Amino acid sequence: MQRIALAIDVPSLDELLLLGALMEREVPATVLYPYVQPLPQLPLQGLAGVFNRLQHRYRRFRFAGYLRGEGIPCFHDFGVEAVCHSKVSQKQAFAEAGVPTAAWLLGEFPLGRVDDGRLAVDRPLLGLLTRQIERAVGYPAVVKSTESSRGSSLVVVRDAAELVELVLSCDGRPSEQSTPVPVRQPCQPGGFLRRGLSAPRPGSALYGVSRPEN
Amino acid sequence: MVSLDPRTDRAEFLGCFARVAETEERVVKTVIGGATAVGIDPPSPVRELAEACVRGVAEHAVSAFGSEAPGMALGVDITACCRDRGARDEIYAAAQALAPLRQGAVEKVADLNRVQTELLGVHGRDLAVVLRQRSFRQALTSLDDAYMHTATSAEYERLQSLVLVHLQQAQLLAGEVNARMDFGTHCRILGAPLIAVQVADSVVSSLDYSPNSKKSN
Repeated sequence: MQRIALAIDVPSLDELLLLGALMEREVPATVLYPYVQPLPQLPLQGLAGVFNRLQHRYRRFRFAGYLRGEGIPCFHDFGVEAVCHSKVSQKQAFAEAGVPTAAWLLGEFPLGRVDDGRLAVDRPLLGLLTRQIERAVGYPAVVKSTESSRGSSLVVVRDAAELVELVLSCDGRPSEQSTPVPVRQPCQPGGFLRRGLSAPRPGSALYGVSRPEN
Repeated sequence: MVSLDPRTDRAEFLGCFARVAETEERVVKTVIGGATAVGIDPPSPVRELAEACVRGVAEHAVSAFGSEAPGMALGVDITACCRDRGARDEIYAAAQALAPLRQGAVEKVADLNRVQTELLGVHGRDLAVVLRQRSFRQALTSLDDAYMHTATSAEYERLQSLVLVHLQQAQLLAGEVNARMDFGTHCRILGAPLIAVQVADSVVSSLDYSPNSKKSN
């Protein structure tokens, strides 16, 4: 067996245990830090492949694409990461496989540019979004960002008014100007998770999922 | 948690835990977000749905993104819709009863994270060296003991049995899949064999088989 590499950004207990398991099997293993070392300098020669354990979904997706370009085998290859990266791709995969899911809707985050070029909530688009969710999903609904992970950016809205209030609480700043907030608290309906929605990327999308009825 | 071996096209069910809220109002999406994790041996419809999700991901990866026989070990989120309010309240009450016991394990996780961070700082991210450190092994053993204390309690067993009873009648819906599942802390509640060992086996098998690897060419 050739060497296997673990690609890591934030080392966690998982990676330590995984490395320990590989070492116990006497599999030659090494660790790569693609977000510390420049990609062209990563020691990829002679690898059997890479287990991509980067913490952030988007980083994993990008790194899997890089490895595909370099012809390096990857556990959770680019295709798998591409599906897992997007909740919409996951829903498509489930639909093709005939797997039942909750009713869902992909809706554009209602952002538009105002006169001075700033991004701000577009009220007509917001009205359209509330009606779309009403028709396709129904309230109460769970609203999420398409590329969120670890339960971040997830809010329960009981009715259209709560959705309007939620979206208007977003200031429209593009995400590049703000810092993602790690989830460390219990999820409360309409609570801290609003912060996850306060930093939409231009062109980003939300999707609603119906919550089981009481 | 399900792995898919491209060599045999065999899906292996690695383990399962239920995430349980303590009240109707709370939405607990993750264990880190406050859900109680209960290790269960789920009924076959849950296993079958999880496997169908993973196979769906594999097929979509091939058809939409040009993958070739991808290997994977994914965490699959399944929502079990329990329409009976009385049954849900019973589960919430059982989860509340378990909460004080769970706290011990939560504190041990924090201790382990602190030790790990300190060691990584000292040893310059050299994971192999960290693994050998006595303080790390001790913190890990303390965490295992705390989980064992929780998982052998009457409160834990009651919650576990309630979840299993209600799973029999629940409507099952696929939620999401996660390519980077946490198997270090939350899965310890499932007991041995640890998921890390099974995931390592999947990785070795898949990469050894990979169509691009020199060995299989």
